[in-house]
Amino acid sequence: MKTFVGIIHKSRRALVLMLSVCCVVFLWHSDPAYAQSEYTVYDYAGVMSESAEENISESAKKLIKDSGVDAAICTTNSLEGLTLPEYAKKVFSDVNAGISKDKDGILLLISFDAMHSGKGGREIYFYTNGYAKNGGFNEYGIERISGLVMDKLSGGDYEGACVEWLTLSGKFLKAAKDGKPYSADNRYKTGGDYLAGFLVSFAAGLIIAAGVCFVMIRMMRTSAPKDDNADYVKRDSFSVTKQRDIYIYSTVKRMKRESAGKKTIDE
Amino acid sequence: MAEYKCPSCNADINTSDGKIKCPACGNVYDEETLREYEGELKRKSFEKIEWGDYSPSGRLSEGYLFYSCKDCGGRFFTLKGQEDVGEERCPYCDTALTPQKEKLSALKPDTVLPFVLDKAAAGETMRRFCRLKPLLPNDFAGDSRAEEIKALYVPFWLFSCEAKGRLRSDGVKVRKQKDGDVDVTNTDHFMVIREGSAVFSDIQVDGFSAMPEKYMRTISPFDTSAGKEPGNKEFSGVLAETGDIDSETARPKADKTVKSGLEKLLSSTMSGYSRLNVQSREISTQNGKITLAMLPVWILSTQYGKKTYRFVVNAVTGKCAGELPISKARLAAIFGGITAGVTFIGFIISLFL
Repeated sequence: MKTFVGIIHKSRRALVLMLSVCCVVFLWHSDPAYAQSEYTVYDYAGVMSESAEENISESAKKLIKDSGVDAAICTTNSLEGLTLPEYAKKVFSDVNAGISKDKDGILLLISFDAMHSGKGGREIYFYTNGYAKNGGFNEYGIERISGLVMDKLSGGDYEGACVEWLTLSGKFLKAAKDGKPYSADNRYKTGGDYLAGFLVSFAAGLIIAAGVCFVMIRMMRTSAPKDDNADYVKRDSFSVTKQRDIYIYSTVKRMKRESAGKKTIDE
Repeated sequence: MAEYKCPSCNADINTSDGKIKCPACGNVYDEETLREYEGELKRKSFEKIEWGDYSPSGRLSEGYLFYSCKDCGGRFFTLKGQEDVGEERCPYCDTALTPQKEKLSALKPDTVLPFVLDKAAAGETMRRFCRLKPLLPNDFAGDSRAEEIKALYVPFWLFSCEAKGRLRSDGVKVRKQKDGDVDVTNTDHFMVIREGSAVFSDIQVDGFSAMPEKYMRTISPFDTSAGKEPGNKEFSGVLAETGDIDSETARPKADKTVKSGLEKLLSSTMSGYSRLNVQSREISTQNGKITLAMLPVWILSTQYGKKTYRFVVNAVTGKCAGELPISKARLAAIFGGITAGVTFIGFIISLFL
């Protein structure tokens, strides 16, 4: 009995301890300062596999850890009559995305609405909130990242595009935190940009080198045959013996000027 | 009743009612103009260029030594006694020349032009041309090559004549003016006729084919006024090309020079027109004369790789023409260097864009 009471006593302490832990965990989770979306990927359009979602979530965890900004991705077949920004805002709010009081977070919306309704193709929208909106990303950053993600998406690589979006967002946020945000004056460059710069420079080099060498080769020969028959005309020997300029007829064309630049002809 | 064609629209017009107005286009003419216009249309273009036959003043044979080149086929002669037997080399390909044992002869030129530039001056011309040539091979640059430049007499046919010509062109004068919001363009059509004459003197046409014609045309013309009848000394110690183009073969080039030359002169007097379109040419010549001249050049031929490069200097005026060899290694180095340099600079600039 004593043992039983002891067990009960110990269980109570354990229960209190467990309840306390639960309360702490609950409070920790319910604190707006630490709230974030439950999942990273909300694949309403069903275009991603489970493993893809896991990979994306891993990348998102890294972003959240490094930058303190929440990240969510949503795919949808219908915008439910809303615009892209409206729908993105709604999803961001519905999934309770965002960290801290300001709900710092970003969301990538991939919409197939226009594609299904035959009005266009895939559309994406890069939604930012809190710090992400007010300092983390500028207009250049959002456009640059969206452009690069769209390039990836055009190949149908949704997982790659989402991981790219998370990775790029991390780089842009880090640059912003370091006080050197990417902008029109401090452009973000990919390997492709460096390659393009090299290729353009190389092509310019080839053209200039070809031009210079062409001139040098031309300098290696000198021959400029002239067709100056006057060289053989004896000085002062040319004389005109008859000179007639006979007026035959005239034609008159009248063209009315019009403001649009068109003209009408009246002969 | 006279009938004419309207010069403007080619419609039939007649003068029966006393007025000469085209019923189709409304242009008004006076009868004398129409008569002259139609008379001109009936005249046909013609070219009658005559030079007469070339009669050689003799042949050079006795007292001259003849050479031929086994490699390029060049044939030369020089006055005996001053030749450098066994050492003469072909001016065109730098191969050793072989003296000909059989009896040969060459046309005696009517005139010979003496050398004005000496070897040193010709060499300096060559050196000047070689300056600032980064593609020139190392073993070609320097004074030694200029020392190898050779004196050579080359044959030219000289054509002289008095040419007469008549040129008829359609001339157009365009006047533009504004009348309110209307642009008015008046186009006056004229028949422009010029007759004239000119004396063409010593038109120079190559009498040999060994040198590219473009080179010889570049260094021409030679001032032949200092030419003189050849004596015995002109070909002493200097090679002369025997020539392989006869006067008949050379004629078409002289014909062309006269035709285009006289047309150019007559056209130059048709001023004040917006456009001119030649309709007929009538060209004839008289007192045509053909003579053979030996003209002096300095020439350097050199083998580089598998190609023979030639450089020729007019020994009277100093004008030069020719081609220098190109070092492929230098060309590749310059091309690669510029490409690498521009690529590097361009890439660095792209990093800041």
